[in-house]
Amino acid sequence: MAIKLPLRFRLLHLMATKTEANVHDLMKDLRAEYGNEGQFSVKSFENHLTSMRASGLIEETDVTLDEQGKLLETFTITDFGRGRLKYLPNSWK
Amino acid sequence: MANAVAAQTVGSASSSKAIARDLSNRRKMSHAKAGLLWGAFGGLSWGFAGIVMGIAFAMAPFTGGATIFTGPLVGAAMHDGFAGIFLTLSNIVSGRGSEIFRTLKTWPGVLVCLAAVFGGPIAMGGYLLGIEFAGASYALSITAMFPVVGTILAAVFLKEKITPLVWGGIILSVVGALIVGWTPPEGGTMPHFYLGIGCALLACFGWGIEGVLSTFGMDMVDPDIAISIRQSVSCIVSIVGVLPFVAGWALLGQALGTFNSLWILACAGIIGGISYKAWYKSLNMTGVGRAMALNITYVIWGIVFGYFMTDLQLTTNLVVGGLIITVGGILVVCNPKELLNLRQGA
Repeated sequence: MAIKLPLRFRLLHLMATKTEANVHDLMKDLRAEYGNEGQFSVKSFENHLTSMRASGLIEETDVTLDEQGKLLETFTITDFGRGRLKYLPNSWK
Repeated sequence: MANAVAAQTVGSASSSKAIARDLSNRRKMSHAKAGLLWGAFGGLSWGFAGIVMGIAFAMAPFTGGATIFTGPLVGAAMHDGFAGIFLTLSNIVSGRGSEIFRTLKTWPGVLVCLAAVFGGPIAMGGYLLGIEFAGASYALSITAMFPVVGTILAAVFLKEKITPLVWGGIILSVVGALIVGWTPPEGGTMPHFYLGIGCALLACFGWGIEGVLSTFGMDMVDPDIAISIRQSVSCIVSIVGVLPFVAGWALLGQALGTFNSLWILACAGIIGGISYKAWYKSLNMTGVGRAMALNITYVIWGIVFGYFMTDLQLTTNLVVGGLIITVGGILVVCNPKELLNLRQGA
């Protein structure tokens, strides 16, 4: 059985399986794994994504406003980000 | 009529897009500026932590010990231990306690542990041995160069973008730190002088390597978790791997039983833990070069807090060096737009 990854690493792994995704897509996919933890919040996910974007691991493909007029950014993984996947534990490769 | 509605819809969509783009740019800029603020706060709080640690180190039992560096090494291990406990508890309270164990099972977690060993026992041991064998003037001058080492390593291994302005800021910060720390070389013979220089170089590389390894790890790990691991590992490795060589366990036992200095060191550990957390956040958010240049501003804050809290006398060296570091810090933070993409090709 694969070990549970730190959330940021899991987000990077998940981004590698998708063409693109926004924060709500990612939270929906990870609810079963991390949904009962204090860090499972839009703010925390957005912080990780903003940081990963600044570090060049992911890049934005689209920006829109949601129904409440809040910013919704869509991201895709970069080649640089894919390069970091080689540091995944074997059970996740 | 239909054309007018269609045009209005298109206009509304394009204005909504423009607002979204504007909000996105603001979010990026706010992230970049927050990274700079964390960096500056890290420098300020480290200056304060240094003064509090100095007060504890001037008290019994840290003034004793088998060698002259037993006290500082025991104190540094205890500082990291208190910081590690505080940071781990704060992660547990915020619902991220289990992230610590998950991180330790991954390669990025191992890198953070290695960063802890380089920046904790290796760099601290090298620094103190450098002072002992080569004298304070040479050891302090060499170790103050750690931002240059860290920045070069970050440019090579992390592909970090370092603009000429940032290089200028880093160099000025280091020059300022050299001026502040400069004392005329001690006279007399130093039979192990070159060994001392080697130890100081080890410390300089230790701190530089720590910044790069931890920043690499924090690409995949939350900085709040990374710093909690860093402080705890540094404490454990120091106690197990360093203190036995300087007869440190006996002094550690005495220090744990001396409440007068223990509570001051615990306060220093908490302040230092917050400071290290700010430093690690800035490494992740602004890059190694800028974070290190801002971190070294602790020298200025050490002078400010020292002036008001201790009997520190202001000298020309302190004032001139402090002003040069300030100019260096300003050069590093003056163009946050450069921070939107930290890595080359990103």
